[in-house]
Amino acid sequence: MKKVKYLIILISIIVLSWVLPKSSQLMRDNALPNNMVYYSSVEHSFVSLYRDSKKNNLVRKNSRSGKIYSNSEFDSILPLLYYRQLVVDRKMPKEICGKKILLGDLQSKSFFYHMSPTKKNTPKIKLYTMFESNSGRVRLKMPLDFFRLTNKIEFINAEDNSVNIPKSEMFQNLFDINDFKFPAVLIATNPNPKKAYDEGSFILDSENHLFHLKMMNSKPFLKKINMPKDLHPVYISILEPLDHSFYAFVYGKYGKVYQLTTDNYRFQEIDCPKYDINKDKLKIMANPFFWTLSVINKDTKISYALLASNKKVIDKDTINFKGEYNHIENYTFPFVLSFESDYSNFLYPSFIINSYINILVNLFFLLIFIVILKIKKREMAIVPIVLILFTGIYGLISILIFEE
Amino acid sequence: MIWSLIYKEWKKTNYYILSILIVGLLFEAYLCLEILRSVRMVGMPHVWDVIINRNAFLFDGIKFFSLSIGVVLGLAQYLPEIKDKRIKLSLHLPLPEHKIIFTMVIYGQIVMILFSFIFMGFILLFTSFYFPCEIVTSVLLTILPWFLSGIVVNNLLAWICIEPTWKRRIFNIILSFIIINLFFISDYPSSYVNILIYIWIIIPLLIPSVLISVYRFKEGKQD
Repeated sequence: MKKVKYLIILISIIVLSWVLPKSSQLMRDNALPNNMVYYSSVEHSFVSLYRDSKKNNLVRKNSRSGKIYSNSEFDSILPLLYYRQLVVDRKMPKEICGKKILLGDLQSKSFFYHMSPTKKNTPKIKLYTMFESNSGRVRLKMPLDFFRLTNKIEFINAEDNSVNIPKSEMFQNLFDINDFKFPAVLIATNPNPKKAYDEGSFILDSENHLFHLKMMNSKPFLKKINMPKDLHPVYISILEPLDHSFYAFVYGKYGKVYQLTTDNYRFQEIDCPKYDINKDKLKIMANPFFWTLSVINKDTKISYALLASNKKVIDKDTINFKGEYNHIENYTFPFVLSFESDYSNFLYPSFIINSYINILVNLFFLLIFIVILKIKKREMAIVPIVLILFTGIYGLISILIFEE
Repeated sequence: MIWSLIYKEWKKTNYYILSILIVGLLFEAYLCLEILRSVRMVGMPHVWDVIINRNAFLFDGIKFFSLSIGVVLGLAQYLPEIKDKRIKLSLHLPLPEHKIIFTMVIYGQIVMILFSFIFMGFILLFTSFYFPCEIVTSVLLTILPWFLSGIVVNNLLAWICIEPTWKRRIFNIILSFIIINLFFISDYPSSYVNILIYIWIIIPLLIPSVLISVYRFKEGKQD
């Protein structure tokens, strides 16, 4: 019976090590400050927009000089971001950085891009959409089939859940001719039917060769792409910008980020702060002259200003977030079991042992336990003492409830 | 003697089992009809699109179904035992008490496992007619933790119901509630794929917990 009792106590300790820290986090969690950082083509420095938590107002500030701007001044120093407002106010400059700017160019060469770890670390049904890339119509039409890529390519009709054998064989022949080595390791598509146009999918084979796959006039198109030798893609994010200048962002193994351009599939390395695709967020706010690239984690937001022409860094900015580190909680809980993560939609068991100082705190809980035993005039046994020494508050609660 | 115990459990629960089967199958048939209606309204390609590209899950309605039938079956099995302390009669049988109790608990577990096979099988069969194996797999990985929760709650109800004191019973309920929450952490389809093996381990680990309640009952613990 003792074994069963301690089994229940152990289960209780494990469950408490999950639920107590999680409940504590629910009570004290705060959102990270949402500072917008953008590189001004007028001031040639970073400017930021954030909410002052004490005065509860929006602050527009030059990161280098510390100058504070009014709303209309802020619009004027960011003409490439607030061009619509400036056009309405008739304050849009005719030239920026010594070059005439056309609104059409501004719209087509500006984009916002956001990459988060959950986009990569998410359960995915391995069926993919293939649009007709050359339909001649303005709007893309949602296809009636989906394809899978296992040891061959197969198209499945959604209407009757059957394999479209002629279409599958037609595409498979092209894979064989291009010497594609199955199984595919990475498949990147953009299944959004509201995008302006479609450039198909990018597929990495088992020998680290990248291919471009699409369907044009109902015929398959497959082209092998020459990659830099040291590039081992771990993720590809397709973005079809209005100016047709690139296909995708390719993320390499060691934190490198590349732009896959439409200039004969040339890879352009993008200067980037230290970036871990599994833990950091990446944001790009692009205009025809500069890209503001930011890497955000729970401690810092590091922003680079890049020349749009060659993606080389010309300025840097760093924002440190005030530590959310809660000393009291960290010393109370000797270890934490968790299943959820901000970086993934998968559930993973994660067991983190906190500081060695927890042993001292555990001694305090052990003292409380001994006092309670004395008050209740119960005998001390070695197993509960050892359990509380190592598991602290979890052991104390479990033993007090289930020991009797 | 063991067969007599099994027969006793069957007599307690036969109408409940039949009712659960009928209601369960009707409920699942209703969910399937709803899906077929959606298909008629928007077309099958669109339904595939929302499942594949927008992570929609078609069988949300089944989420707490297994938990509910686990509770119903558990109460059907154990409430009669604690009424007027009738479990005393079972414990006086010429069998080791752990065999008596485990027979009751494992009967409930086997019935719940059979229910899980039947109800999951119905859903997966329906899904396999209209959707490819990738979607069927995703449905299975999503509903499996929910059906495991029903098996676990049936086990935990033995531990809760047979416990003689309300003070300890409340703690048992709180701990059981937290354990059951493990099966409902995330609604994201297939998110449990990496921790399913750990969840399976919970089931046999919890089976002996009822022995503590029986021991405390025999010791005459009172509030």
